[in-house]
Amino acid sequence: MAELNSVKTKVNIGTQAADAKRQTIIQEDKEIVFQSNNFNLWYGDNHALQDINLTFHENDINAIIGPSGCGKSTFVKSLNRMTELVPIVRTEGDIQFRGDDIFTSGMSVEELRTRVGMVFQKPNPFPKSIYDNVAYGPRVHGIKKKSVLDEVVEKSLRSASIWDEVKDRLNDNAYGLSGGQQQRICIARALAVEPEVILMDEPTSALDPISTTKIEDLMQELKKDYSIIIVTHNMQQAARVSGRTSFFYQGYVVESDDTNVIFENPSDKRTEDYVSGRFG
Amino acid sequence: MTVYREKFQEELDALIGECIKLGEECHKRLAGTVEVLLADDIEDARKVVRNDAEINKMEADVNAHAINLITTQQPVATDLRTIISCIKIADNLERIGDNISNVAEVRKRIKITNERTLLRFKTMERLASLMLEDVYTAFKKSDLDLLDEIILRDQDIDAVFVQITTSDIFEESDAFLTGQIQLTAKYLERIGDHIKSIAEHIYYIHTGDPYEKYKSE
Repeated sequence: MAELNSVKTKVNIGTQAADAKRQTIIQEDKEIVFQSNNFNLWYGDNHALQDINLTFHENDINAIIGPSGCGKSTFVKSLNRMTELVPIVRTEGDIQFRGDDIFTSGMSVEELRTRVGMVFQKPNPFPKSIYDNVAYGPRVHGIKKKSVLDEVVEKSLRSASIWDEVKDRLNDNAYGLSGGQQQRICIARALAVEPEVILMDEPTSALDPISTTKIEDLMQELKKDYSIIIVTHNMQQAARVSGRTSFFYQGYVVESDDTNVIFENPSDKRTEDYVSGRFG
Repeated sequence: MTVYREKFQEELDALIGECIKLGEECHKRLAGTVEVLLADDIEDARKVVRNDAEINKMEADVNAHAINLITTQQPVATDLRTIISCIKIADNLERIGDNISNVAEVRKRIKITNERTLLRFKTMERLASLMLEDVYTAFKKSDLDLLDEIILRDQDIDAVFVQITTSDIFEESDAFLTGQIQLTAKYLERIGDHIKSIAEHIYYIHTGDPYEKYKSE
């Protein structure tokens, strides 16, 4: 195996050329949603993200993988400025959302978080009815008319592939649903304010295999209308659902490429070792 | 950096070891392929045909082991390419075994006595045997240049095949004899093709691209 790795280095030149070619093709096809330029982040003295240069395109699922503590969740939370909730955080560099720097362009945090929704590791519905959970965002945005809210709730629940399961009990408390159903309610809640991007931080790690499959199928449906950025510890999930994958390690992006390349023939030995489960 | 999956690595090395063992067994049998045609007694030929079952069993074991590793370990990247290539290489080796057995079947039907033809068969066997030895060396040393050379050397076996099948022995009136000579030459020529194919699979393990694609880039 050691010999294989030395040979891999030799053939990397060809892979890099192919990568540049692929990148060009993707950029021609799809508009850029997020772009980070030399983005750095510190938690106090801890330099958690170092010179992150990544581009995410619309209608694509981007997976972010890496061992615990590598900065992947921090990066995803930076995309809708949630890291600012931590007082000791300091950043450098910029993150462009649709061409505007999210930190300096004057875009409010509320507007950013409306356009960039988030789903977390553990389902976190509000202790309210299913209906009120989904209607919460639109209500905050001033929609009061019942007929409009009804429409938004149904559309969101349908988009989250859970309408058929809950349509007869919309007034039941969301806590009464299974974990997988709760997570889809959370996705519906995120969709209700019509975001452009959905960030998912290990959305299926607390779910059983069937619920996980449902969420993964849902992601494939959602990518027709949204851009999805998903942090996952599940290698097979990243390989199954995403079009592009970025590998984070110790605060750096080691490699970002088509998912097929990352899982079939990565350029960097550390990526190969990680996706092969040889360290983590 | 903590290294995990030592057990998986052991299993993967064991799978590669099984493939190498299968290759060594084929190499051993290949060395006597044409000798069987020369024997007065057909008992040797019968034995070669009977013993082909051992090669088939070894191939089945490689496949079962590979499937078990895929199911239980969910390998990716080089690991997955290695396992998939082991399955394919084992298939090629099993087919080499079949061709050796097929040559023995010819002896069960007829004794070829034309010395020039037998010498050319021997040449084909020797060329194939050297290719198989070098495939092993190229794998152990990750020598892509040697793999290239092996793939080219298959043309030499093809050339001897053409030489045999266009020789004046085919002007003889014994259609059964010429038919058996044609078959034997084809079996030996196919052995070369399978070794070439093994070299291409090893290329794929190392580069991640099919041989043709890798060479064109």
